Amino acid sequence: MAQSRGRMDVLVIVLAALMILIGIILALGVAPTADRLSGGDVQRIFYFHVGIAWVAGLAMFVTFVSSILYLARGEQRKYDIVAAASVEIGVVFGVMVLLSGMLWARPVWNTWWTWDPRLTTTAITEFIYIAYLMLRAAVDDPQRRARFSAVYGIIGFASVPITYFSTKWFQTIHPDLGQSQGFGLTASMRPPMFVGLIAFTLVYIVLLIIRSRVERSSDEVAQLKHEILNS
Amino acid sequence: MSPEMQNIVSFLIPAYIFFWLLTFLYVFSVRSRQKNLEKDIATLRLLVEKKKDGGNS
Repeated sequence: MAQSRGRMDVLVIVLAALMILIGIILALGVAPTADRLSGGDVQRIFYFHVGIAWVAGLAMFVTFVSSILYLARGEQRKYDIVAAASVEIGVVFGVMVLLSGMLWARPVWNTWWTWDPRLTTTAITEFIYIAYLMLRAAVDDPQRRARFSAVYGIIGFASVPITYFSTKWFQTIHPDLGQSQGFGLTASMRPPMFVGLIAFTLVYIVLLIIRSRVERSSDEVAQLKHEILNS
Repeated sequence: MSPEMQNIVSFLIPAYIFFWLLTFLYVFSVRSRQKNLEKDIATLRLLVEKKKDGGNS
């Protein structure tokens, strides 16, 4: 069982590395150069900016679902493990989204940061999930920590669709992928973007596996400490 | 250097470098946390066994 799980891990890691390599080649070499308004070659940041933004959203969605399952299915620790691991990955990728966005914005918008609705909601979402991690760190009792985090994980997720739809609901200068003109995707931009999405999803799966293992190991440490104290 | 090339050097390359740097830093931090926990588990298991042996003798 452990051996086949190890083989699966290696398979996912190899697949992720392969897809990342193909994604980089497509994004930097094959994808068309955008017009000057979109930043020319700097627009190639887009291919991984979208991929990591997708993973950040996916990670928070996984936390949302795991939190519901935790509360609905008798507070099983396995759901709390997935929620905790996924949030951390989401926060790391959220930082990358903001950084890569700033590096694109500087030459195109002539500023590192502006209080545009998409940028502002993304930053708020990031802070909401940083607060989630702080909440986890602040509660000592494992059951209370898991329960509070699950409730927070469900309520906090409201910020994710608000962030996604901010380009549709508010006036914004941030490109909207749903548009058919302007910043809308041309046919030759789609393959590099979709390869990037698959590649980053695989990276997320790899990270989720290794981060969940940390949670399980810390459970084992707590269990052993308990055994020693009570023997 | 053309302005386009300058943008590539100043923004596109740093964006990719930042991404990989952060990813590897994160993987490294998770791996080191895991290694520390594995060390703790090994030590604690020894302690549990010692306690059991002490109780039996």
